[in-house]
Amino acid sequence: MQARLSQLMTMTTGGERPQSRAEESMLAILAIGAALALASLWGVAAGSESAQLAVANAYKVPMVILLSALTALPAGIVALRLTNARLGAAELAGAFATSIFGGTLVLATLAPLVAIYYHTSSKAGLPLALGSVFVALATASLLFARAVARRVSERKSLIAVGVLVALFLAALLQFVALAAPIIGTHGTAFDGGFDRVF
Amino acid sequence: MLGGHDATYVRAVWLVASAVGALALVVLALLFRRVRARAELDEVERVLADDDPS
Repeated sequence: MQARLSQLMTMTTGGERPQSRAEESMLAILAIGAALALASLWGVAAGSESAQLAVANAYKVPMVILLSALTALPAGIVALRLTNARLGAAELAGAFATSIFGGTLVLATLAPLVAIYYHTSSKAGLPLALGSVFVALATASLLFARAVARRVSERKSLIAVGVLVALFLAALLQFVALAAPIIGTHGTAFDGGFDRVF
Repeated sequence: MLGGHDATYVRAVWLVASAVGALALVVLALLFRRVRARAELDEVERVLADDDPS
């Protein structure tokens, strides 16, 4: 398992890809599993204000990420087909999975900082928790674009990346609202979904 | 309140969405077993091909 995680890290950072397609698919699924576990860690940190919220977040945050990804993926594949891009659907899904892993890795890395600030600072706690999410989203988007660009250097494939990222964000906004509260028991502006944010 | 619906409705939507997510996890687990077996087979075939002097 350690060797596979190491392989996954190599793939996420843009290193050498596995030789066989089956191995690449296996690593993509492993990336999703690892991403959900890492997201769960961040969820516990962000909800550490109360034990009940922390336990609920351990399940809610990974589920929000998984559901947003599932909502966005078909649109990305359709965009890929409509633009007649050379990139395959499985390759797009694989790159998407590893980029989600990269994003949640950032979330999990920032989780201890989020937890300590949430308990010790009334000014920085909430902005830091929200900020960690935006940093993770930016990281994942950049990793995704880089992974696709390394596979096929054509602009058409990057359109699919844009569509997928946009739909992922749109879905994330509403799933966060459905699962609210996530960050602290008082919640954030995002708890009202699209209607409250815009 | 989301989209003018009450808390019970929103909770029901979340439960349905969670069920879909749980189902997706099961499908991913089954798919993982399948592709892992395929990857192991590919690896064996590659080793055999490397060892074959002809």
